[in-house]
Amino acid sequence: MINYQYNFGIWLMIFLIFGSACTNKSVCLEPQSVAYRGGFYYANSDTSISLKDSFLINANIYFGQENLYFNNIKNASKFSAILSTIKDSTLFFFQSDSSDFSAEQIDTIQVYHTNELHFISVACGYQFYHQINKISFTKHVIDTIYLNNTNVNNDVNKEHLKIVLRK
Amino acid sequence: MILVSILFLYSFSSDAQIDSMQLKVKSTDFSYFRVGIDASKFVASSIANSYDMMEFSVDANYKSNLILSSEFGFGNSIVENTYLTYKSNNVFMRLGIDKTLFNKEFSGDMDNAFVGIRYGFGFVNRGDANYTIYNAIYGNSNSQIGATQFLTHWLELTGGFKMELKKNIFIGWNIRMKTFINPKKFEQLPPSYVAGYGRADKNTAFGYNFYLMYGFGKRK
Repeated sequence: MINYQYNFGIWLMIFLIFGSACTNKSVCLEPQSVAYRGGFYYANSDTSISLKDSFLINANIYFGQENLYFNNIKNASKFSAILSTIKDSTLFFFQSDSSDFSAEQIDTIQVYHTNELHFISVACGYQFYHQINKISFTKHVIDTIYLNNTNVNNDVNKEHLKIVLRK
Repeated sequence: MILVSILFLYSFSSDAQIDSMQLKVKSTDFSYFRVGIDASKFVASSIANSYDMMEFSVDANYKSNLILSSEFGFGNSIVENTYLTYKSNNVFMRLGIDKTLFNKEFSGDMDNAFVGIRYGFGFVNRGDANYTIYNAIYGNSNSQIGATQFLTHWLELTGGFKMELKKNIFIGWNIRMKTFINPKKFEQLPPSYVAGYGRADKNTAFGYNFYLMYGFGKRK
C-alpha cells in the first residue's frame, strides 16, 4: 500500500506540475462588426405588395466615411453593409448601374439607428448591435424601402431592408 | 467527472462492505487537524502571465470516515488583449465535507482516498475596463466601463488522495468539478481567472490542487 501510494503520488506530482504549465489561451474568432442585409425587389404589380427578387446586373452601394467603400452587386439581389458605430445615422449611395454616374441612376439611403454595446467574449471584447429607427431615401431608381427587421445583430439569416425598385 | 462519479459510486456501493469490515476505531471528533498550502498554485502562478493566486486548506476529522474541509485563498488576474484591458482580484472560501473510501489499516492511519462536496463563495472586485472596437470603415471606438464588485457562489464535486509522507507531514491531490450558482454575474466582463474557481467565462470548470499539509492533534 505504501509503495503504491508513493508511486501514485510521484506520478501525480509530475502530472500536476506539467499540467500547471498548460495555459488556456483564448483566441478571438468572431468579427467585431455586424452587417445589415438588404434585398432588391420589383413589385409584382402596381396594386400588389407581393415582391419578386430583382437580380441586379452590375450595381454599387457606396458607404463608409466619405463613401470611400463600395459593394459591387453583380448578378445578385442581396447585399450586406455595415452601419456606423460612431454616429447614429449612416448614409449609403445606391448606383443602379456601375457604369452610369448620372444623377438619375443614383439614390441616397439614409439609415437612422441606435448603436447598442454588446459583449462578445473576453477574447473579442465588445461589438455594436444596431436598432434601425427610420429610413429616408431618394426615389430616382428606388420605388420604396420596407423595413423588414429593425434589429441588426449577428443573426445572418435576417433581411433588414427590402428595397423595391422602379421597373 | 467520470473519475469523480466512479469514486462516488464506489463509496456508496461499498458502504455495506465497509461497515462489515470496518475497524471499530472510535475517533474523537475534531481531534486531529491539518493545515496546508496548495503547491500547484505556486507553479501555475509563476508560469501563467494572466493570474496569480494562493490557496490554503484546513481540515479536521469529524467521524472515522468523514473530514470537514475548508479551503481559502486569494488571487488576481488581468485581461489584456487587443480589445479589452481590465484587472480583477478576489478572495474566496470553500466549505465542505470529504468521505474517505478505504478502511484504516492500522490505528492512526491517515492515508486515504476521498470524495467530497464543497460550497464555494468569493468576493470579486473588477477594476475599470477599457475596450476598443475596431472598425476600419467608420473608425475605432474606445471607451471605459466602470469598476464593479460582486459576490459569487459555486458548488464543487471533488475526489482525490491524501497520504502521510513523514510523521504529521502530508501530501494530497484532488481534482474538482465546479459550477457557478450565479453565472449571470459573469456574463459581462468576467475575470480571466477567479481564485478558487478557475476560468470565470465557463459555467463549468475543472481544477486540481496539490496540497502540502502539516497535521497536529490526537490521532486515533
